[in-house]
Amino acid sequence: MKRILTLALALFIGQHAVAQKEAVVSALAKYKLDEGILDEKLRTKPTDYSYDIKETVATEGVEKIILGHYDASKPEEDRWTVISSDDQDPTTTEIKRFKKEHGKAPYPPAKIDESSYKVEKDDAGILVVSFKLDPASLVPDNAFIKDCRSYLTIDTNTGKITKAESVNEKPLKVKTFNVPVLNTYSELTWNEAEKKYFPKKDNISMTIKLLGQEVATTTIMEYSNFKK
Amino acid sequence: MKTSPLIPLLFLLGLGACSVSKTSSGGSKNTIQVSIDLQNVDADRVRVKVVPPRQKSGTVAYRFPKIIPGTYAIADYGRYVDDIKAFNKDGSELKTSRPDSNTVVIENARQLAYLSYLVNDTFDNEEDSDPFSEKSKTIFSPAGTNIDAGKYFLLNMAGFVGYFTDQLEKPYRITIAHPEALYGTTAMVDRDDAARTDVFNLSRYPEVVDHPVMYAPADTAAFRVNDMQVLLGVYSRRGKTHASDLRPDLEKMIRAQKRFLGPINDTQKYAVLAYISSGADDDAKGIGALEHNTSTSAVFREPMKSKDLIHVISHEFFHTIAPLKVHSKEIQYFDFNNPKMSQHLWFYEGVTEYFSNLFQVNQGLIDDHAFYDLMAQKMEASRNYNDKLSFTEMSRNILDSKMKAQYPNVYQKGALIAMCLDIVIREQTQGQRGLLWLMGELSKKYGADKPFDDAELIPTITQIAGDEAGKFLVSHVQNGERIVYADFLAKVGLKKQVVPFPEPIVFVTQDVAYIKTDSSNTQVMASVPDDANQFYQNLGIKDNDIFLEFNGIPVNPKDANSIIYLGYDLDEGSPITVKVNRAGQDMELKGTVKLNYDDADSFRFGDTGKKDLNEAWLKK
Ligand SMILES: [Zn+2]
Repeated sequence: MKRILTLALALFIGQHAVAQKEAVVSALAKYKLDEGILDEKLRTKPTDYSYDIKETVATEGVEKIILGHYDASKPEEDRWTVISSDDQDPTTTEIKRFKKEHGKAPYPPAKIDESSYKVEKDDAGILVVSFKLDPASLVPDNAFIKDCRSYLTIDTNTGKITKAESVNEKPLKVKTFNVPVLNTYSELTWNEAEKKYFPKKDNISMTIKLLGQEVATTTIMEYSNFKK
Repeated sequence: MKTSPLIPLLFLLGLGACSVSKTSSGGSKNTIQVSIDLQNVDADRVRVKVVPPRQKSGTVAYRFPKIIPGTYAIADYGRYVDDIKAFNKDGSELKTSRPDSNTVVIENARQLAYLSYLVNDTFDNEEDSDPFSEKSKTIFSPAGTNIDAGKYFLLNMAGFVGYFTDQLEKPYRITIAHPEALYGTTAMVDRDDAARTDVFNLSRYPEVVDHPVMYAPADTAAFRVNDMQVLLGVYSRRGKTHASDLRPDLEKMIRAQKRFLGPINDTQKYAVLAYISSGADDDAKGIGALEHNTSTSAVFREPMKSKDLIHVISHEFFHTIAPLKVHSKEIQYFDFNNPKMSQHLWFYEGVTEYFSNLFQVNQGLIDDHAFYDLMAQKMEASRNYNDKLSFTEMSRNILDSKMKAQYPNVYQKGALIAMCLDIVIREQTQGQRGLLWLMGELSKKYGADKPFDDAELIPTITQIAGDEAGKFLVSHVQNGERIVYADFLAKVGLKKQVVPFPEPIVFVTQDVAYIKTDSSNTQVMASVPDDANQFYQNLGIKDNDIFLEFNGIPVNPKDANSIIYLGYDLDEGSPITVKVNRAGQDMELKGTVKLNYDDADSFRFGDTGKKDLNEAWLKK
């Protein structure tokens, strides 16, 4: 038997052309639900800290783990290195992909659609608010976010955000690709010394439909060893 | 059988309907007689009648396969069978039960005169999921069935014909009534002269499953390569591709394959059944092929090029060596409802896939750099799978839903295992012998009717090809130790080198997609944020150009992604015309294809001391 690579094709296009996790997170970061704690600057990734990253990509039952390192002391183009891919030396292709993915510039700031605010939950020290973004403030590349709803979970005792999440409310069209599912969430930790949020874990679940077949992928990124 | 313009030619080739003497087993009392009615299709379903030989026990089970050889995935063909009834000779219904979708149990079976049922097709029932994903129950299209009344039928027999428990060795006589306008492409010989009836005799049930037939308006090509007859039948739902377009390249390739194989291949007749899917939602989505001993059923997608056929057949035809000539008992005595899988998928699929690449450089169809790049791409692709998994374990458990996702690696790492084994044998014999020689030795020892025990294959190879070959297989195939490919390739003088690879789709380069849809999502447009896309630059494609046609094939606005296929696997320098609408004006952009390239790891020759071994590996 031999099958032609529709799946491989889907993966090739899928993960890299569609995954726009930064868009969601950084667009969220532009919003001020509460003036102090929700300031976008508090949630941008620290560029002056070095850290490790573990990326786990699971696609239709096949898993791949890439370990990377961000070195804040190096010139910008050399900051990302790939340490290993499934315990082996990374290939040229894997290194290029990783660097491209992590070196991506965030999208320009977008605005919250003020009429879309909802308090989803407000009890036992946890406040969850949700909102959507104003389509007029999005650029063509992230226009699909208009169909996603963002959720922020805030620990009311500390006044800090613990989780930022985004869920699509209907099937998305990203570039020309049909994306029935695009859910992302980020866990954050508060760094008291820097007075700023550090990323802890990003989780992106996505299903793309391409050439008649659906392919589901989950990408988990875990951050650790922050050092100045 | 329908008289087509090709019939005179077919007669010359001995493929003609009536040219073979009628040594019929049809009269035997022991024969299972099946009639399939393709003339009176009932709501997309085909009526099948089965007249069994006299049954000796009180109850008997008639079963459809859960799985067929070559697919490595559960199919459950019985799911598509409705209205199954058993009758005695007076036409009274016998009591039956259906304990599972594949099985019907008939009571008072001594009175059983015939069974009757309706078959639905699988193409119409394909899900959206990838057939090799963990939960999918979709039958891979080339192993499936299609019923399109009056126009087209694909009969993979497992979907139409079952077997009585413990009676797999009984002969079958299959009579197919078909519309006169449709021609049946198959490797079987029709035993009937009538224009609307084909009769096929088969010696046992596994033979039935091994012989697909495709009924379509006559669009065939036939040719002979040495002693082998080749028949190509094509059906394109959109009518864009014809057998005559595909024949020259197919013939060139099969000739090269025959030269490469030499006497190891003695296939007498080979049929290629090619279905070209429109890509529409209700059409076949599983693009690829399934090998049979004397034929291949393949599913392509518009726009289809002869290159696509070459990709598929170059692989499938080499299956005439493994598993046809050399296979294990699991395959010889295939259990259609409780299958035990062989440990040696690396051997059946990996060796086949490797040969389908090696023969091209061996026969001068590609150069050595192209061959190294093909192998390097397999190395890159294999990294998406579990590289520390024992391949024998994986094979044995391939029907396990958790293992299913690893299956596509048989074409990647499986082929690389074969490559390393080939290199080991070359090294040990100072270039005199290689993997093809080993396959020849194995086919002498075993054969189409003489299977091996799964456990004896590696020891046997060790005996024939030496300890180094055996050691390699034990550590890297059985024990799942990682293969450092660079170490094996160094034996034939290759060194790692980063080289530019053409990107497979002209719309995507450096992981950036250069297409978008308009605000109403009805048109596919060019997205040109920079000048990095060489294909666009060369043709002068501008931002916001609406794509209308590629080489005369319209972009389907209902399925924006279908454009991906129009820009997939194009040849550098081939002529191309892209029709776009720019600011309200239609225009044709003519030129040649300039592909985008991206650097990736490959290998190049760089050790003159290994020149002889390198040449023996590639050219001998
Ligand atoms: Zn195969």
